[in-house]
Amino acid sequence: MKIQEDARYAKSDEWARVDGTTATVGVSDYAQDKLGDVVFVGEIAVGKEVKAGEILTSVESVKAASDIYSPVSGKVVEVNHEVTAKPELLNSDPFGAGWLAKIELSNPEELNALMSAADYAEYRKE
Amino acid sequence: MTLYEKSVAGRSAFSFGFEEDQAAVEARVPGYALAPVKRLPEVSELELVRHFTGLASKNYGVDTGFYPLGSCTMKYNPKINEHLAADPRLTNRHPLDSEAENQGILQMEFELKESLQEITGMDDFTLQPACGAHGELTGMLIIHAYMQDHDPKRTKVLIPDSAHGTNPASATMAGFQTVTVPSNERGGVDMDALDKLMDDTVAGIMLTNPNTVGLFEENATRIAELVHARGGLLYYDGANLNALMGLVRPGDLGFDVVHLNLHKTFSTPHGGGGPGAAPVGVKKFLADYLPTPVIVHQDGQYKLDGSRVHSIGRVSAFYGNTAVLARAYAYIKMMGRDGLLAASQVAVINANYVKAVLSPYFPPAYDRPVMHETVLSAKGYDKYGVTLLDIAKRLMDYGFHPPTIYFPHFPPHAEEVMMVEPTETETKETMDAFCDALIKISQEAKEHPELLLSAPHDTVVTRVNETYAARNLVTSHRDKKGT
Amino acid sequence: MLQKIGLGFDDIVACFGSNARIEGGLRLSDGLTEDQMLDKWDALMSRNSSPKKASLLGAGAYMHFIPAVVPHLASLPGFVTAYTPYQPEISQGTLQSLFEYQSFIVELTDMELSNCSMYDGASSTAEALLMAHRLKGVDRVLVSSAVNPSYLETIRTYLRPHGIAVDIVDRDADGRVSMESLESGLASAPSSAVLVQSPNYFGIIENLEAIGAVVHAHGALFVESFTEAIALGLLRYGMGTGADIVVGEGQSLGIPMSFGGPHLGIFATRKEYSRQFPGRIVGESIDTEGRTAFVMTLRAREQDIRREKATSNICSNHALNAMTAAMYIGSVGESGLRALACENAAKLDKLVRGLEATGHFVRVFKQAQVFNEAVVASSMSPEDVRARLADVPVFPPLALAQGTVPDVQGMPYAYLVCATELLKDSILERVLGALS
Repeated sequence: MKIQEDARYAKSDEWARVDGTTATVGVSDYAQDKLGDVVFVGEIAVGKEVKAGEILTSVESVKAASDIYSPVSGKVVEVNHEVTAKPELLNSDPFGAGWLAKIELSNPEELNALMSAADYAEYRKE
Repeated sequence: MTLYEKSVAGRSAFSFGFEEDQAAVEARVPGYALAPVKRLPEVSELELVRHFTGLASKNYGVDTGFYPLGSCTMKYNPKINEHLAADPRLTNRHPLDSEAENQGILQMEFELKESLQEITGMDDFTLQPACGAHGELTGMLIIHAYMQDHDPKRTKVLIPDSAHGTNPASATMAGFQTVTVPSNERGGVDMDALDKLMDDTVAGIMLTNPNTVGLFEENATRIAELVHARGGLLYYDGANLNALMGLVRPGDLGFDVVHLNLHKTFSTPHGGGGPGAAPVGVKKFLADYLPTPVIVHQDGQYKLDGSRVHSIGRVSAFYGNTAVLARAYAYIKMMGRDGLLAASQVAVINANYVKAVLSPYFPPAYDRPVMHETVLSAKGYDKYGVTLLDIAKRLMDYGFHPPTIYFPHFPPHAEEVMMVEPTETETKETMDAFCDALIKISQEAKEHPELLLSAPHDTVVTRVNETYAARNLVTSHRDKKGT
Repeated sequence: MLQKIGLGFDDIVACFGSNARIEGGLRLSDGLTEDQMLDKWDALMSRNSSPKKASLLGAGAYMHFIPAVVPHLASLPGFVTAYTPYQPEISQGTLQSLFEYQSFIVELTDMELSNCSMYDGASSTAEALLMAHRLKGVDRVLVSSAVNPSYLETIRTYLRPHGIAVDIVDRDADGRVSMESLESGLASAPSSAVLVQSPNYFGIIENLEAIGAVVHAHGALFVESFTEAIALGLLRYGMGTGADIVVGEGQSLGIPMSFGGPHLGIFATRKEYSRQFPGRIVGESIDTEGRTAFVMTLRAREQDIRREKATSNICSNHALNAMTAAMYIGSVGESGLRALACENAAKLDKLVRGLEATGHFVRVFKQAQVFNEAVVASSMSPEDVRARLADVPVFPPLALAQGTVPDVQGMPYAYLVCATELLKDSILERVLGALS
């Protein structure tokens, strides 16, 4: 199970990586492994307002469908069109090319409620 | 190769005595509506016959071998039923022709209705729904309409986590919000959870009994009392009725609405995914809500009664899948009272037998007698690197269709359980052969796991790539690259 | 076996509890042997009226010629006794047959994606409107007044619990969708979709392209429907006419009427809506050796995975009837279906001219082009028509309720008449003779 050190993690297996006032978000390696081969990533609208814990989008694998929850609150300012065109990126590079959206943070304190990389590794230890 | 790929211009299988002038018609069709000739196959009748005969031979069916699919009740489809259902006196009848001209068909359907009422302990039936999910939708629409009239704040429906996916899907289509009720460690509904959830915003509960892990709901009567006492109704998913015929009736257990799967319990063939039929039964107080028309017997005549005051309307254009109903009718008439009872008794014995033989290799999910199906776990085999899917695929090399592996997936079972339902039409010899195969495979898992991982080998095609299918969507000839 | 189990039967069913067991057994008759069943069945079926050779009655179910090869192939046990193809390796017969059905439907409806069947045209049409509602989110749909009344009732049953308003678009004096009513209906409030049937309930061919343009100009989805699938052999539908969804009844494609069921729900749409599409879909793929293989795909829309968020609750469908339709299409072939469609239209034309020539019937909606059904007004009552046709082996036409169509002076009754390729000249002669 891969862990990205500079990210914070939600219990529902999404990660957020902060860069100034925005956070890039995606799903963890644990999550993509559990999903299986991803075949579809739902469109996310630029400008969409989300709250931490609300549904950001949904992804489908051959045998399952999963809702992806935003780990942070704010407004979507950028969306990864590459991953909607090639859903397999979510499996092969969940922390890198498989990122889902960039969110302008409305409440940066929320990040403290998310887990550190070390805590998440412990949480998802099999 | 598909029929398109086998086509040769100008070939035809059609032989018909046309009497009219085709060109004259084409000249009269308004320009905005006339289509160019649409591309369809051009094959001879022999090519057509070889094509589909070849395809049929690539299929496994009940007539080929054992189908231990839990919750599907793949029992034998008697050929006399096929013969009757193909009778032109049934097939060449127009549904909108007058009732007086169709007394035979209407009588057959009315007698079927009466038999189903007796088997289930319900007061009235609609034969209109086409399949289980359609029956569930119909039943839940009835409950929804009743609640809108009597207690409109009841907008929720309780559904056990073990329920088949159609239950919450149907409840949502009927306008309800679904609330999941967890199962307890004995596999039944968690009564404490139910107690907390059953309030005056809940219209009722959907239950399958025996449930999807093959167990009779021990608290069936208590659940009915609790739900009714708090103003709710009970819906019965009849998918597993094969365990109960002649033994227990859902109407007697307190259910208000019931659907049956004729293509399961009542032997009509599955056809690769339908058509089936799913009559819906109700207690008297809901009879006015049934979709119309309902078949009745009045003044010595069988009639289509369109006068149900609170009817939900229609769920289909006509009256139900008559040709399927006819098969179930014949099945019930030929089995009779004693045959139906024996069917359920043997179905239950067979499932318990298979469980007893396989338990040392695939521990049962619940350690007590089961009804007509049993849930067995393959959890221990992951240490050899094999999953339940691999075991299932290897079974095909032994000439058996795998059991159900895609559900139930509620805690604590998650992924690694299979549901085995032998049905009563299988011999002990067949069940023994199936068990032997699984026992051999359990050995192979330890000693030669690669045999499972690469299975199946002896089938027409080897393991099909589902990810590829979804990522490169080709669902018609038009989609194929190069055409 | 009980020995192996180690329990008696009563021990196994002890879980029923004391109050659940049926006392005294079911009150049903004794079982019948096969020969006894045949006798009983014969006695029942003899209570129907005598067999017919053709039908003047359509209105959603149609009597067509079915080549012998079609029921022969459709009754092959490999197809009939097979389960849903969840294990593709041993279900290639079902899967490929359904893929071929999907291919034919895509071609006939000129759409991009077909599922492998729904139950019937009525429920299929209702599901199309629910799909449009999911896509657009507006709690209103517009439905042409010339849609089959049973379809309209089914639509209301499916849409009512979701609070989706079903508003009607009126027809004009010629029995077609009134463009005025359509425009004003769309302009008055937003709609998720507009549904138009063609040929419509009165047999009239609608101008789908013109209607589609108006519908899209107002941002709604355009749903086309049909009840007579033979029309697909001659008329334009689908993307070329602006359709977003095409739905209808496929019973005419090699499936007998069987007093109303099982029939065949056809459902086709555009690829961009694939995620909101109900029903099962078969896709082409490869196996481990790279060979072509078919498999059910896009399963994550379905009830077993999505549960309450599924695009529909549909599980089993009418797969064997879809395969039957594929066999029928393979049997009549490209030129055959075209010729059949023309024959149907020609027969209807001959029937109506013949009826008018008797002096007791006159065509209603004269300005409109029809396919194989039309409305005639008459001075003859339904009892009279039925009595006169008693010795002619045809199903008599449907008597329409008064007020359904414009009144004609001196002709208080109205009928929806139908003709198919089975209305041979020899039978037509007898029909016209009886009605003169």
